[in-house]
Amino acid sequence: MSARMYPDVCVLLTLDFEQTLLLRKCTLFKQSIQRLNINCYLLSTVKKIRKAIIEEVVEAGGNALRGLWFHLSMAKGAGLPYILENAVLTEEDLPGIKQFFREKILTQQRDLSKDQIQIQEVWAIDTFRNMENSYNGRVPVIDYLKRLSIKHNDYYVETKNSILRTENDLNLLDEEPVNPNSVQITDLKKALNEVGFDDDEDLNHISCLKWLKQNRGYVPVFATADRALYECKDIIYEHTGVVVEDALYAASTYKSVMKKPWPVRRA
Amino acid sequence: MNKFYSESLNEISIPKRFDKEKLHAFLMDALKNSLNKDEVFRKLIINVSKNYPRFPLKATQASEYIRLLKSLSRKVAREGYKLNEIIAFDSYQSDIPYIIFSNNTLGNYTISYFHEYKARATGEHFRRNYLLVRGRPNLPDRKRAIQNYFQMMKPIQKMFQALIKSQFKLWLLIVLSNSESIKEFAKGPQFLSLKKIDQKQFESLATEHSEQLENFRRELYQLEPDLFRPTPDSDEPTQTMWQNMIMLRITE
Repeated sequence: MSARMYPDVCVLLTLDFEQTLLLRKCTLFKQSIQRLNINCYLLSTVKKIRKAIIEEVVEAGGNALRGLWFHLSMAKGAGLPYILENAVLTEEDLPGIKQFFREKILTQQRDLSKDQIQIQEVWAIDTFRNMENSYNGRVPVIDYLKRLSIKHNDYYVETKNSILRTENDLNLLDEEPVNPNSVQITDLKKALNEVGFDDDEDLNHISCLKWLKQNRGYVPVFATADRALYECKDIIYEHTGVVVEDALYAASTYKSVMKKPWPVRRA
Repeated sequence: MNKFYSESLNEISIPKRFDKEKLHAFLMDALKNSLNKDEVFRKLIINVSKNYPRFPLKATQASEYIRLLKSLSRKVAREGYKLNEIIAFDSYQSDIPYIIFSNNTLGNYTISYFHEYKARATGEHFRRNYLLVRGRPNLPDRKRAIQNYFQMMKPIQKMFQALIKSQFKLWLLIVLSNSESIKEFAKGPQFLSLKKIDQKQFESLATEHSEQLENFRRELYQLEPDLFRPTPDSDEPTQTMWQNMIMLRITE
């Protein structure tokens, strides 16, 4: 029986995004993994979610940009692109942009979507503020829209590059795809629901790890930066035998798991 | 390019209003015209082909080839940047998923990374095995150095060809489906509509492109990780937006 380290989505995503909230924890995890030369394996469910989140940011940003383009087309160019080519954006246009985002927020049902639009609004205004000095307060609309779109795509490239760097830094090896539905975790779900934990994505990871433990004989150590999941570690271990550990201590836990004399499996 | 265009056109099913042969002729003419307009680029391509490593290769020729590949790499990066500006503008006048445009931008960056890698790897290989060989290197050694160079480049070059073809086919399908005539295709349609594109083919080509891109980038990273370093001049508002959006999603 051998132990295997599986880092989760938070760790993978925050390592290279330099999130101040989790940065230190993630950096410490990365350093201990490198120092102890531990191989990490990527769960296919984590990979899938990471891809989905990035595409969601791309699409949400893109939709905001297309909406802004339409709003400015109507407000500055009466819907005619050739008029828009000569239009400029000034301080006086900001209430109109604010109105555009407010109306967009009102049409949303979910808090997540409302929060996303607020983030995009800050992005749009922040970009205008950054540009206005170089254009003496009169920013050509086309230049403004172009810059938003170019930078949005450029950051997507940066994100994709950071994934490659993260995978390399963690010496991350691809695991074969595991279907989270291939193993039943009904009892675990019930127990976690009782303590108020119902994150489907995390439950999918745990389900895959249980499958790997049952079918491959590994002791999976799931390194997470998610406090809510970490707080359920005892329940998860009790029902699945999967070790969930805080990213700060994951490397040392892995080492201690490796030292334990595991019972020989009977055929 | 003749073969590249015919293969690409044969591998997709284009709207019936277009004739494949006429399209092929148009693409070749457009390529010739753009090369004729850009004298520097035209000369660069001719010189690269003149100094292409073939035995017997003079040391001066090898040095010239390395220099030309560096110039080509800079040129590709500049053209890629211009293309990305066009993509940024096109993405507004469309209802096609935004990720298609973002992946196109990613593809253009990756193409320029490859040219940078090729220039660096070629320089390194010829300096070590050809130019800096002490004494009078015998002919079989030199011949082997050229053979090894092609052997080294072959797998990644093959993947690169597959990538650019998949990117071109996807772009061809999108633009042709949204054009009524070759004239409109040449000018570029005003709006790129998803409804006008054959969904099955679009999904298959988009998946093919995304997979080729992913595989190629992983391979290139193993060869030259330095190309994928963080950009020092990233735009602060955009960086903040991305970070907050991701944090929002993973902590929801």
